Amino acid sequence: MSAATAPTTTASPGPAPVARRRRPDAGTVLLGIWGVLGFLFLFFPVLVIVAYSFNEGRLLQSYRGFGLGAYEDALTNSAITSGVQVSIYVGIFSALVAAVLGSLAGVAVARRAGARWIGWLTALLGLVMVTPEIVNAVSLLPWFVTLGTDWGFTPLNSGIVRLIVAHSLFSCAVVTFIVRARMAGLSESLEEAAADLGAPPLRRFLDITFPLMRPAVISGALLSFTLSLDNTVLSSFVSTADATPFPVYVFASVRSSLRPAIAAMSTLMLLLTLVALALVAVVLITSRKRTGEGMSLASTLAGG
Amino acid sequence: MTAVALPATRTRGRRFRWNVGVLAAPVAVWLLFFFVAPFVVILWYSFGDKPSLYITHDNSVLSLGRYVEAFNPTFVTVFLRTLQISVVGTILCLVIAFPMAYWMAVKLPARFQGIAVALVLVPYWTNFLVRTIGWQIVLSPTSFLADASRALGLGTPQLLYTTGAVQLGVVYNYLPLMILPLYVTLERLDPRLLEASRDLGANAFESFRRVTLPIVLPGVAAGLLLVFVPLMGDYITPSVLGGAAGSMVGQQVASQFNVAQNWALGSAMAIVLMVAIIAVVVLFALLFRLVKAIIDRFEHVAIVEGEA
Amino acid sequence: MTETALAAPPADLVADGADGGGRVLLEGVSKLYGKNWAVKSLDLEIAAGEFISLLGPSGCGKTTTLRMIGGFELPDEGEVTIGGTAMGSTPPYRRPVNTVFQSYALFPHMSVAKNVAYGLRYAKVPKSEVPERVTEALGMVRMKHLASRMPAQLSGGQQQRIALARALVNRPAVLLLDEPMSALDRKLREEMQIELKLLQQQLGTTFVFVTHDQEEAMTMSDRIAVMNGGRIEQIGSPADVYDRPASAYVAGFIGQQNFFEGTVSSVAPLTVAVPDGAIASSRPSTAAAGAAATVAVRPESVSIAEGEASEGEANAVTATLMSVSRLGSYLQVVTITPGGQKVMARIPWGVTIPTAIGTRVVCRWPADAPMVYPA
Repeated sequence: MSAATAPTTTASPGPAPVARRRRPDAGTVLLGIWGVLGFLFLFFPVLVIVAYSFNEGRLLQSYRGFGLGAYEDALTNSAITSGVQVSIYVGIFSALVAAVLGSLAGVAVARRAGARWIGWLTALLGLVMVTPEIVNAVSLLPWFVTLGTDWGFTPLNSGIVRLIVAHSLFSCAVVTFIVRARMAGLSESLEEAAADLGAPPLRRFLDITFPLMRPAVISGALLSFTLSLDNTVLSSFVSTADATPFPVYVFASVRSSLRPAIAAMSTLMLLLTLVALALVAVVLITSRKRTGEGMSLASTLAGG
Repeated sequence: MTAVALPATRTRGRRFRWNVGVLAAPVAVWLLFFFVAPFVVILWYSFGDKPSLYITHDNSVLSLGRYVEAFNPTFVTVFLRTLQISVVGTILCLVIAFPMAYWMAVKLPARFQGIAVALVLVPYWTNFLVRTIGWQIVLSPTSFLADASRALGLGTPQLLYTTGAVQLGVVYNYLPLMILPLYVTLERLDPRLLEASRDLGANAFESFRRVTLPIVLPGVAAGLLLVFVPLMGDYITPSVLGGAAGSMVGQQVASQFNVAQNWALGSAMAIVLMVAIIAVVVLFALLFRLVKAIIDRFEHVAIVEGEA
Repeated sequence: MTETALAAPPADLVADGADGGGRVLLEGVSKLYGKNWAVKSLDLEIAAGEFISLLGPSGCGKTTTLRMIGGFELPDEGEVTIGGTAMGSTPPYRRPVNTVFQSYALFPHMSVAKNVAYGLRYAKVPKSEVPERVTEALGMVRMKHLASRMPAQLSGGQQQRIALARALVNRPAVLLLDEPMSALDRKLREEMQIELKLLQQQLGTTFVFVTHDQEEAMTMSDRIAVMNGGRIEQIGSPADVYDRPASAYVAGFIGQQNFFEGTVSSVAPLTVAVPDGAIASSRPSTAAAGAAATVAVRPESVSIAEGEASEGEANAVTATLMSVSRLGSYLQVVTITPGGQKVMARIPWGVTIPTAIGTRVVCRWPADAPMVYPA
């Protein structure tokens, strides 16, 4: 049967245009089923957490009816709210540190890609990214103690400062690689053109280089922020009693008892993360629309 | 002017621009101070000792004693279990992720691909600890799963605090890290290449083996690396899901610092873990090269001299 | 500065209105990349208001020369002087030159108008004058209607015009153009060539134009500098380099040639023995008697007739007709001699010649056509 050759002779009232679509083969269908199952798997525990945040029971694991009590608890429990405050504070500042240091390094690495020491730096940044967090954590703890207590480097006795420094390390590497990818895609002749038109070096950076790398810097900073919010291992080692970020509080609760309030606050934090991610997407998409080029969102978030 | 005369106005700097390389200096200093230096310190500690209950470390006598001590039967058991969980987990991630990434990149219409990537990212950016707790809820004896099992008369299953629970947890936790690099590589795969391959007479399987696979191999390697390395050092997943039966090396290291206050031994264990990871990665890189070399050899087309 | 023995442009080619600010002088300029001289001991004098092309294949040093005038590269030896001022290590932003880049290098995050206005800010043009200047520049390239667009929304040809306006709005003494038309299609390129030449004549600005396309260089330039291996092989008017190429290299690079390899059998009159006969030339040559020589004969000098060359006839070879094709206003004829030498001819449309493939023909040319170079 061909829908194209006999447009009017068939009397059947069936929806004719549908038949024109090529039917997907069995392999595609199986892949599709696999993909959907995969997504269900990925979302399953997240949905469980969201569902259990409406648990009216005393313990998180045993469901005792629907209610918003957990949210009220979460927002009034000072341990939780101060934990969230510490998390957000640390997230913002570590993201700032990473954005500044990483952007500078990203420009350098992209523009001096041939130099040998750039190779060493790239290797070091790669090492930062592949070192297990636990090794980082156990090495930073004695180092902070040594610097802060023994060598009198007192700012490092503050839990907040320690958290910001610790979280910034991985984020620096992330921002560097994102900015490098962006800069590598930009022709150096743009900067030459600015020079040609009379712009001295600093103006050139402010007029041309920075605006063009800005989407990468912003998305790198927002990613750093979410990484910092997520961080548990480093935080639980370097934090001090007066500055306990939310994940560390949760991790401590795992050993004693988990309450629905934790699920409630986690759900709120998830929303916060999603907003940050949405911002990354908006930044990248608008910059691509405006300039007609840019990185794919996926490539950026996957790190290059 | 003679041709060989040395230039009077010798190079005044190769280019007009100042050296942007200096911009990398702050990061280099930052990392040397807060990444390399601390690592050197625990390396130093690992050659020391814990002389008494109240002192965390002492380096007055240097020895390899802590490394010998680290290889006690408990540590070795846990280490081997960690290795097993990591290898099995990494392979499972690849097996689950590849068809997903392929479906997303090749079969899904372009306008849905962004959404699909976002859907992978949402659970990934949910707090690692919190999503692990999600599994703890599911696997706990009071969960709906256990309720269902009891209703069917199968009794209360022991799911939580087993190696299996940890295995499930790590596969879940690191799956996005496998999907994303695979997706990125597959997305860049030009569909015209496959068309060309089909045009040149290869069937679907042959096209996949001879065109798709060689191109995505780097993506696969990246995914394996991204999953294996953090998995090997994971500390959260076994803490939440593993209990005593499913503990991993990360916890052993942590407990030396947190509980036993034996920095010397803990440092040695951390170094052992680090060395093991690097060794596996190097081994894998060699294997990867070997596979590529074999493929190249297999597909090698010699140019016959004097024919053209 | 003393008057040097540089190839000075004929006085009548210098634009009347030019004040000398656009005079460019390169003296013994060299640039080393790694171990290779990209440019070696280059001397070049460019008069104010002149349109000069640096012509050559990629890697001949033409772009490096341009970049040294612009200040993007500093010479390892020698000096660049613009408008009477030695540039030394003056950075690009303090040089009275502007550049049209090969890829245009329009700022992707700025609108067309902002791109064009960019340089005015640093030229200290009063804010009130900026809109006027931008409008004028955009009008010059007929792009006023696109002022608010973003560069990504423009076609290649439009981008090229904007790049031109962005450079010219600053009223530079010298405009550098780095293969600005290489990304345009043929028709658009030919249109732009004419427009660019007219614009240059109007403005009286010195144009230094880098290209690998000899037709482009021939169409627009007052003078052409043919470059090879970091040196200038020949510099002169388009007619000079076409009619009197200084070397076999230049002869081959500019226009089509029939090349014959042979031995100089006598110097006066100049005769070269080639496998298919003898070539006599009334042109001056440096080739010595008994030495190997390369002879170049332009296809348009060659005439075709049915028959064979008579015994001992110079400047005539017998050949077999291989193909005849109509190219615009002339016929392109390809023949091959029994010795395997390909001889091409360009016959004006209307001249009757045999067209059957395989016909035995005789190719003849006048004695003032062959150019003889020592091989």
